[in-house]
Amino acid sequence: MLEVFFENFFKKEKEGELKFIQNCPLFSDLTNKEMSFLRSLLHHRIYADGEIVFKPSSGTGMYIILKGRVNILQGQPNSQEESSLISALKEGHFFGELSLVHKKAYQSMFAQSAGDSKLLGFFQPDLQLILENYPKMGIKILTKISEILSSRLQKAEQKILQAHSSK
Amino acid sequence: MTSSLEKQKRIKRLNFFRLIFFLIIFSLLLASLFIIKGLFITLLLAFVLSFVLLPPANFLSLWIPRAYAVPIVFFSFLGSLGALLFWSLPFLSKQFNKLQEEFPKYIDQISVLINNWQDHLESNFIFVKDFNLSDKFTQILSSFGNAFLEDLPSTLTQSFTILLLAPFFAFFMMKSRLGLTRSLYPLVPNHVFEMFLSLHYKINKQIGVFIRGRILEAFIVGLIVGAGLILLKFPFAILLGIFASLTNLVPYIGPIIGSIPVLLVALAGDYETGQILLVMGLFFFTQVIDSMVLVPILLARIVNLHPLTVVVIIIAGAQFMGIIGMIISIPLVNALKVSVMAVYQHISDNI
Repeated sequence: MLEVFFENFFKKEKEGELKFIQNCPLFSDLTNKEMSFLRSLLHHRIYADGEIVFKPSSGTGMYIILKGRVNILQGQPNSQEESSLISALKEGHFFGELSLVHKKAYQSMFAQSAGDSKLLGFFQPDLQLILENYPKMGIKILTKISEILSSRLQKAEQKILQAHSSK
Repeated sequence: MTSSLEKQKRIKRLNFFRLIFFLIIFSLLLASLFIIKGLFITLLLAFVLSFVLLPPANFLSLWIPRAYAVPIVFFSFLGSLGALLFWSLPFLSKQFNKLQEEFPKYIDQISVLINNWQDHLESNFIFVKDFNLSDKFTQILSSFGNAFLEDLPSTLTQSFTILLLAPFFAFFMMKSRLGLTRSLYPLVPNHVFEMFLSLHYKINKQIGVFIRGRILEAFIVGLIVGAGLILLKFPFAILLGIFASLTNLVPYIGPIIGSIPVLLVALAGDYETGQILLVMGLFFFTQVIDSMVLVPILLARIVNLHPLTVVVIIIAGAQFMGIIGMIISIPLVNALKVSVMAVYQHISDNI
């Protein structure tokens, strides 16, 4: 009886996890086989309330939130100055994806766990491993990262244009 | 504000304890390597085996599932190695026994040679009179030769369990792609996890390049020496080729040690000066190929040790583990240096 309960409990959690990974745009093009390989590489990490997930310009990878919430803040962690909240992320959201290609992608931001949280990490070395062993799969992920980058650039350009035209 | 400060303090304490815990587990595992007899060499062999077989297994797993690719590569390698040994062992052991039998003869002939030489010396320099060069030399040579020739078979039989266990370990190392160390990941505290991961990957990669390069280098050197000796119709060609390839793993000193038995056989046998010169030329040629072609291509990015450091390390290796120690001490220290450099670079990059 208890076993059945546990099985279902964990099954549900695993299914939820798969959904979260599939929802992440970086991995949306992967085949089932590639997805199962990717999942064997991901790291389950548990964070305490208030723990820093990554510091400014030192991240090496992205995280998907499985449980709990994570705040993205501007400023320096543990400093006297009050850091300002950029976005509050919750289950299913992901962050830090640009660290996969550029170590200092987030120079003035850091991520902090709000409450206990469970995160799924995917880091530069893991991407490197995919690129070396399964280049096709790696290219799919890199293409997605470039898409994210270009859409952000577009948004930034629009903002600059707006600022110019309002002058 | 005070509650958030409290929180930060609590997290700091937590991380500190996690780090200590992780370091204790890690050092216990490391200590067990040296406490459990033979485990260290078993693991080392398994490590080397898995690093050599990993690229073909990864290559094969582009087409077929990894669960099949690893065993296919693994067992076909072991099978062909076994077949090769089965086919060549009677021949090799015959050569080895012959060499063992004839070794004293060679030493006698060498001592005659040295005697002649000393006579020549004594007639020119009086002060060497009381110093019996031939006796000294024969003593050293025969004790070293006997130690080696007699030790080798017993070392090999002693390490039978090691040889049997190593493939077993290697198989599981290959199955879990990043090695067994990956199972330690959950224990690594959050604040150092990303650093740990990149470091582990970097070190793994560099050591892989190093081990594969060294083994390929030794193999090619052995091939050249063996083939050259066969062409020169020299006795014990294959055995001497294998010996030269094994000793080539020890830098600077290795090639010299590898050429000693060849020179002994050449000097003691009935060979013309031209033939001896040809054999010496073969070794010289091999070393030129090794240092001009093989090392730059295979090991270019790997740090080299200072010749003096190499000598000290080899002496230390011989002290701890005898002949095996001499062969493995340099690769081991080199791997350690690669690791330390990777750690240092990572830390200095992130400050």
